[in-house]
Amino acid sequence: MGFIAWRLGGLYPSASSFPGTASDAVVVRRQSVYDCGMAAWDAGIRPGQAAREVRWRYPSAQVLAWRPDWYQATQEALGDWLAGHAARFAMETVEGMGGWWEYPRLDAETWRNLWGEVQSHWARRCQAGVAGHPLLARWIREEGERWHLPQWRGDGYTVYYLPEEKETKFWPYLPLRYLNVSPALRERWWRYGWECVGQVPGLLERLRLLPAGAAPPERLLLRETLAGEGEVLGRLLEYLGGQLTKVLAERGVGVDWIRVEWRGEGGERWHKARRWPEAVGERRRVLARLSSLLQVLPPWPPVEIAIEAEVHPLSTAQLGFWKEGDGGKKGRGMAGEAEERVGVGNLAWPQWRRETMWSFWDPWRRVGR
Amino acid sequence: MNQEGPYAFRWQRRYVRVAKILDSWRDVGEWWNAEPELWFWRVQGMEQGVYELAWDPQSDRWWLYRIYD
Amino acid sequence: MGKGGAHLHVHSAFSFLEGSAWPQRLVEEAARQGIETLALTDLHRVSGIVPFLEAAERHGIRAVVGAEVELPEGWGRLVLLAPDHQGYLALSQLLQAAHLKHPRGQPVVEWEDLEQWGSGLVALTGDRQGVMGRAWWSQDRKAMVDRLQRLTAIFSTGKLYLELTASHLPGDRAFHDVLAELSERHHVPLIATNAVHYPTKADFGLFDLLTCIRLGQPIESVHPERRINAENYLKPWALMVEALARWPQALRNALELAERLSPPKLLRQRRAPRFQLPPGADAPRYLAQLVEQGGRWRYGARWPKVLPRVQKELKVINELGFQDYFLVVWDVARWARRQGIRFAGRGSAADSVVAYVLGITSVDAYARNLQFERFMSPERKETPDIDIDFDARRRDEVIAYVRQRYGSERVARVATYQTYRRRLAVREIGKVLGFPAEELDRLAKSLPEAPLRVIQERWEAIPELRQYRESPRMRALLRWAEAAEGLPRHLGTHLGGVVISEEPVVEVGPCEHSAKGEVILPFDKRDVEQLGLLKLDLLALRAFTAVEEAVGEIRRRQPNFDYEAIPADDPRTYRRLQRGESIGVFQLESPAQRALAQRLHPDRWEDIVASLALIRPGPIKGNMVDPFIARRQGREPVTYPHPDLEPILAKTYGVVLFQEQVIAIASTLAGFTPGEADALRRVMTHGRSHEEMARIGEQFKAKAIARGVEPAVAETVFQQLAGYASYGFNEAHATAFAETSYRTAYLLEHHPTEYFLGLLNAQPMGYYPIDILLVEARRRGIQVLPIDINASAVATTMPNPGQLRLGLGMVPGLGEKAARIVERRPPGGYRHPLELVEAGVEQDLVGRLVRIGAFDGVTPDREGLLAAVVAGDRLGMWSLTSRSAWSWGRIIYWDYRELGFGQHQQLLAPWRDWLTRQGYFSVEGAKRLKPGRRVRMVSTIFRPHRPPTRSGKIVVFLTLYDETGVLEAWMGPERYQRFGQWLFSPHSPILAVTGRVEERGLAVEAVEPWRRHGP
Repeated sequence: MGFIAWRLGGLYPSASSFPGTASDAVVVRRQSVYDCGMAAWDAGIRPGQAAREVRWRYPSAQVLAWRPDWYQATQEALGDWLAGHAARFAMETVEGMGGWWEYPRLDAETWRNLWGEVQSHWARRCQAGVAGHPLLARWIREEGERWHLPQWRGDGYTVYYLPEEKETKFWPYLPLRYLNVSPALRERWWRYGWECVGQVPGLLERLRLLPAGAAPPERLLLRETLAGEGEVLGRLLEYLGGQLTKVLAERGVGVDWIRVEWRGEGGERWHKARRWPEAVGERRRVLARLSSLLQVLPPWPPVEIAIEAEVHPLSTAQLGFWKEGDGGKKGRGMAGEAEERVGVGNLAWPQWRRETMWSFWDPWRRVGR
Repeated sequence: MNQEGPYAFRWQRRYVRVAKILDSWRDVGEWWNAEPELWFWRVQGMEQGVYELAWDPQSDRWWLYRIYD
Repeated sequence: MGKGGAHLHVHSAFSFLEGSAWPQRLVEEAARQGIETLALTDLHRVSGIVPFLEAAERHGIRAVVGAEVELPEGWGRLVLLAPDHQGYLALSQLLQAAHLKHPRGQPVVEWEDLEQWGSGLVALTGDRQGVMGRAWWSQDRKAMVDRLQRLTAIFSTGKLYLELTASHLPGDRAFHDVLAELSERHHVPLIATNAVHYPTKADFGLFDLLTCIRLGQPIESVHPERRINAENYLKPWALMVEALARWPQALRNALELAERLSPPKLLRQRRAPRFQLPPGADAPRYLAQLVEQGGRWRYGARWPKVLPRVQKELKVINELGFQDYFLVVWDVARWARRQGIRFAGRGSAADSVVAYVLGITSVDAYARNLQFERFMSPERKETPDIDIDFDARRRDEVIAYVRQRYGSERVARVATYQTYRRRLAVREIGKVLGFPAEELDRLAKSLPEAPLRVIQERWEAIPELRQYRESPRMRALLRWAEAAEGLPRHLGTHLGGVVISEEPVVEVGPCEHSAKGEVILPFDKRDVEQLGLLKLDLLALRAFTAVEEAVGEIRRRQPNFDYEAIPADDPRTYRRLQRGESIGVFQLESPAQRALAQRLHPDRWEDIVASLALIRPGPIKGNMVDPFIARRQGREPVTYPHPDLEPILAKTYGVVLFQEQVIAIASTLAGFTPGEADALRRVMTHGRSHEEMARIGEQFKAKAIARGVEPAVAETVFQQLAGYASYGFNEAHATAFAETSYRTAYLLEHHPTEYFLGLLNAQPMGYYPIDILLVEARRRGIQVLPIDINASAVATTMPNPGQLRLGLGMVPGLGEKAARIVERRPPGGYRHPLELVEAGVEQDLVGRLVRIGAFDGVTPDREGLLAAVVAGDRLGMWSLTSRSAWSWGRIIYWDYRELGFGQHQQLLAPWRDWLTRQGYFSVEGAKRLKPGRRVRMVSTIFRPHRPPTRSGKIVVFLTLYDETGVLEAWMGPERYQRFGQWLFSPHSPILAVTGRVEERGLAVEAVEPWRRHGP
């Protein structure tokens, strides 16, 4: 095991400006519950719930509007503590305090000790899920009860844990809503009537290829010789780009560094390389990156082209689903890579396709001119 | 634009007159992604310069597609 | 927009994936635009010209025939036009040479052929893929000049043009400038075309998708053959003028050339051959002579009675000039009979006594009082259609005979166009659009039998589609698939169509090779008739093969057995049919037929004839089945609207079942001549509008009343006729088939082992798979012996009464090697699988033989043998004891996996005890329960399907079976909505089924996949 997804309540507010007794207070931020007092928690209120349900669940709740200074210090202190205790962690602070962290080995005893520390300083209530993957952990944190998972209960805490041997069986049932994906992808899944991971073809395999953390970088090398005169350069590049994307997709990884090498007949060499801030695997973007390296090409034709790429596992947000050309996207990359259709020498993908297509008809664009 | 094609255009605060239309063509692009059909002209400017202009008949938008220098 | 205009370079869908519209549609669009002349120039073919010429006549467009051809040495393409009929003959010769001299699918026009035939043609240099375009793109000015000069040498002045297309491509201006310059310098005129591949701009999408399919590329791919714009449509002439404004002479020349061209005379010509008669004879007399001889043979002393009828028929035949046709067919039938090839005429030909006495059919139309006019009448001037079924194995001999008799250049097979079926369209277009393969597979398989348009409208009601909700991409896919549906995709050979022509066939059209290497005339069956050729349908019927095999086997022990002398009223045979135990019987084995038989209780010949007519969508939907059965069984009174109709309808208990009855009624009651009545029937059949039907009704009633029929009765009768006219079946056809149905039922009843042998050796055929045939055979007590490397022949054999030894021919992939294995079998038999490898059988096939137990007679140690095969070790040791033999479950598993059926037992047999303990019933067990009982079963399912039903609701029928037998089942719409997916899933065909036992089978209530947790 190793990942704990937790949600805290009954936080000790750090500012003196916090009013009144905390027990049935419910702090609301942007229409959802951020924190609540012990009595409220025990009555079933949890951070993240919709604000309008509060009264219905717990009529005697005292609803307060969140203020940043109430929890600032707590948040920082918790962060420090986690940094000191967890192998890795991520804190969520928008809909209440929580997140996940990785801990080497966890059992009821260890947990009790950890909780003791947290409880004495920052929070009095906790609901958590423990599993071998943060996504699973988040899920069973919410639905552990429903799946009759074993739990550790104690003073202010309920922890559901997923025994290792059950993990394989549970993966397919992971609801899709726990995945962090683009709205378009989510919409598509909804349209297909898919609700959990097991229903989406191929998804399960890819998720499990993605470790929740970083892995050492790996390099791929693709090399292709031109088939002789007249082979259209555009097609070759498209082919290489396509091959690269295919390998990336198969292995569930993305590329953040590409080097292109161009070898000429007489042995001349030319190369260009570039590193990007994040790894991408989606075809459009990979090809856009590739073509950005090829804006200015050497004047002599190549006999061999090699592409080297450094790859990293992708986070779930990178999961591009179908192949290219799927409804409506007009070359809109994600933030940070605007693809313009105008301009000199800016060869983003749609542009690239158009130019290559024209190179079969337009004498001014003929390859090998 | 007259019947033959564009005869002048404005670009980066310059006014370029078309000396000659070198070529013209139409392109449907990625029509399955609802890309519109575009019309193109390759023109020779009065003072040097070969430009490629693109026009979207539906929105009547013009823009400079490419410059050769 | 003024009238006029000429498009002389146009592709239809007969350019196969390089054109996206039917020729008719192109003509319609041209007419809409006021274009005066249209040339059809498909790639290497003229296959679309019949619908093209017909449509052009209808719309008043000048039609020109041509083709675009590929020149040798990679020069590129050339568009050829036939200026007149002579030109068409030259074009046909040229195309035929291009096809026959080159491997299939890669026709090329050779220089010598172009030089020989070119002078009769007009040539245009094509678009960017044409001779000039390619040279220009390669920047080879010299080549352009050379090519032009070479072409000028072949095509005289005024017959060669440099083509400018208004394609709006980048580079066109420069290209056109160069062409204009060449035109000046070499005095070759320019011509304007638009290289049309689709009728309107909106049709470009489909064309691009078809291009992607042709290239095998997804839609986003980049490829030089993908067009970059949608300009190659039938452009209105005004736009052509605008686009090529710099070259007004090109436009003028197009119009001027169009004036000089005319279509070939192909329609409404008579091209059937004259039969070669003995010296001094003429066709009508010769025919009469043959008929006389045949009459005495068939009727003996009764012949004088039959004569008047025959003379009537001959009169019509002679009037219409079809004597030669009958003589040709008579000759073929006589030859087949002499060769001992089993055959039978089918279809409406059996309505003719002349056909009967000539030995073409075996139905006595006189005794059955069948209407000749259903087959031929003066009012119907088309060539009659005589179809003959032959023993499948020998049918090709018959065709070879026809070829040899009439000359192989005058005989050709007919083509059929494999069109885009819905499922294929969805699959291929979906693949291009990037849908994943498994999803497409599922979607394609689960599309119900409705036009795509309807499916799109009723999305929600279809369970398989519900999961996709309102995906716009899915809808786009279905829209495109609908547009593609029905377009021709491949050329295939028609099953049995053969044409004979008076002149060499090439004067009608260019022949090419089919996939099987036969010479075919690439026109559709219907087009061939329009061209006036004589067409025969010489079909291959595997049921005849089964009969021949069975009879041959019976005769080995009973040399006097005569299939033709099978008694026509054998009670045991009828009782078998009544029990619904007719799996294997020709035409009566389907679930629907068996269910009918169980209700109808056939006990006489007429019942069989009626059964064949009743089980079809028409009568079922028209609710004729129940009344018929009720009357037949005396539960409803048999009434006739008018006493004169009694002789006509008596055999069908007052129900109008046959087309011939419709004719007889119309002529008896209303005084139509039978020919007029048949015309009436055909009109009613083809679903006319209300007004038309009303008009016909008035006509009918008026005439009937004039003959003294009461108005109310006339009205009733007409309503009946109108209602049933389209559902009626051809009685002659039913009778012809009934003979084989009854006789095969007889064989099944009295000689089951031999008959199953026949069925197994004639596979693939019939409704049911081998697995079910074996289940039935075992139920009859036949011992089925598995394939044995030393005991099996190629075919299935009968070593002893009641025993069948399966043949090596049943092993997939073995093919001709099976014969070799048998031939080279050493005296003591094969002792080691490697002996087969040495005999030239591939290792995987040898492995397959081991896995199915062919070597079990040598040793049960299959593992050891397999290891020896793989290791190539001839001296490999294996165990002779069965300790290392495979378990029974494993044996059966491999049987199914390699052969598709269980040699020893059906798939579920080993589980029976366990299943019974779990409370699951076998088929036999379920059949013995009283109706209304609920039961759980685990069965193999076969052929789930959704036929049209009376109510129009979706009811799914399926066959359940296990080692104890076969049970038919069905499920209604709600169950189907819930469980339908299991039926069509690609996985195991074994399901756990819960249902209610009924008289006729099982009403399914729930279905789920069966998970084996057992031993």
